[in-house]
Amino acid sequence: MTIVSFYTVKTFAHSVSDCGYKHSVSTTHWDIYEDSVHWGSYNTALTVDCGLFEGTSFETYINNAVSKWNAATFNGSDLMTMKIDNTSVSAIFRSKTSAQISAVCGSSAWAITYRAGAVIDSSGYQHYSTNAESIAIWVNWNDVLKDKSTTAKTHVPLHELGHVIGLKDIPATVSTNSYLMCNEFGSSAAPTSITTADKQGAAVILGQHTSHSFTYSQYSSTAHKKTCSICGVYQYYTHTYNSNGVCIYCGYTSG
Amino acid sequence: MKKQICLLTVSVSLIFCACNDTVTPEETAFNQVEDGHLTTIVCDEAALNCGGSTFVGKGTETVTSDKLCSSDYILDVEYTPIYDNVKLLSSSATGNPTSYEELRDYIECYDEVSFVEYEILSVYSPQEAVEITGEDFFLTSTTLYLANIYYDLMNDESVDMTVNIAKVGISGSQIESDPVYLVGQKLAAPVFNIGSSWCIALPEMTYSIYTINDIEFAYHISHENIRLTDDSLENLDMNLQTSEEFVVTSTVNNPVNYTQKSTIADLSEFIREDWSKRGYRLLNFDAVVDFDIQSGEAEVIDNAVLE
Ligand SMILES: [Zn+2]
Ligand SMILES: [Zn+2]
Ligand SMILES: [Zn+2]
Repeated sequence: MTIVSFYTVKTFAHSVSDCGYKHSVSTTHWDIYEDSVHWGSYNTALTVDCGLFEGTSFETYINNAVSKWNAATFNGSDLMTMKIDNTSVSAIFRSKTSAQISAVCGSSAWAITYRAGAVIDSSGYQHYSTNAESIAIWVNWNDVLKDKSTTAKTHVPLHELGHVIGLKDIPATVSTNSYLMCNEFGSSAAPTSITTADKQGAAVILGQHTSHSFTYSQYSSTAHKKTCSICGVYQYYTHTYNSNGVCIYCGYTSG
Repeated sequence: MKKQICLLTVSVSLIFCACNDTVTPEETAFNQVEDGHLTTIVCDEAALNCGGSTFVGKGTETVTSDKLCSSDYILDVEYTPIYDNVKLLSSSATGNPTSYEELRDYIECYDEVSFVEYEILSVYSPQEAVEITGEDFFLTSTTLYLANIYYDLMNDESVDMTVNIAKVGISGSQIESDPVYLVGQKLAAPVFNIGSSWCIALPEMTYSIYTINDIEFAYHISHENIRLTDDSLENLDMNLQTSEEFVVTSTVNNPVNYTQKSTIADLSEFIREDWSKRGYRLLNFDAVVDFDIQSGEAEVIDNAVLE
């Protein structure tokens, strides 16, 4: 999602120090903007301003989304700090019309994350800038979303804050609604929780992931799949058998 | 020819005088009865006589009731592109419609609907666009065009209104398969907020207009999900020829992708039927206060990228 952030260039260039490991959204179920425009790190609080939604019914949904991200843990540690703060803002919610959203994204939508005015530092981290529209979550509240289901209203701020962190949409060809970052639901209900895959991606973005931690599963009679439980990258390796003919990694017994 | 008819139907009182000498006795009698309050019907008749050509309403069955053979009407058009090597973006937004049914949510959010044909007259510079609209996104992601709406497909009549239309994409970065427009391009789309300092054409239902062998066709720009079908309209979902699917317009590395081919007659018939069934309120062009349009300059926008 992005013009800057909900559109991304077609060629895929992002890598998570993959050293030959495969990383594709169809397997990891998370994806990162390849331009690496994303939030800084897990120990920098991401602060959210409700903007003019303060005091409206949508504020409840924003609060809920912020608490969910703030409470999220992954791999036994706190994922990040996210909080409402109307003074020092990382991202701000804005109420926009269908026309405004269509004009910047080329399609109709409930919401978009618009970061045309974000300041990008030398590490590629984005920052809010007070003199531009900056990192803004544009919500099509009055025209469309206010009449939608609670599910849709719950999804929107949670999903958009995923974009602010730096997660990218998951195409419908991968899944319509199994992960928070899905964005084309068709007849499925919009997802309303942060799934393991979403947290994996966020952990990578937030720099919580310094070394891979592998799990092994049998893939075929000759190979097993080695998958990082934190970030989801994977690679196929041939089995390594012990004297009993059992693979010391995946437990496959050679026949 | 259509342009002449446009003028006649819109500016009834002005133009009718010029046509008086060709009006048949029956019509004259009718006109006298009406005493200057000319109806659209009379005007169309007048147009018929003035222009010396057969006027066929776009929505009438006359031309297109028969199933056309798509291969007899193949688009063969050549543009002179002005951009190359632009950054191609893929659009994705939360809750974007995946079908025509879902798209209705977004059509219904506007008080009054229209479906019109328009021609791109010129392109505003980003600075001009911001000045006119007060919207910063014209600096980074969106282009403002001066356009002439010349036909109201909902009421099947000519109109003449100048508007500022916003569309995503700038010279340096564009949505893949949906390039920026060239001056002179003709399009059809539901256009909303006509009469404001800027308006929007529904991106999911924007069509390029081409006249091929005297029949007007609408080529759906991108948004393959929004495919219109109706078994009773034989020329709504015509066989799109392979050579028609991608056409280079403004941008060498971003050909427009046409995803559906219809006659304008069947397309507008479909929309008229569907929207009237749903009770959408039609925009009354006579009631729209003409916005004070500044004259846009066809400026080439510099190669700014989104970031
Ligand atoms: Zn998204
Ligand atoms: Zn890893
Ligand atoms: Zn093994």
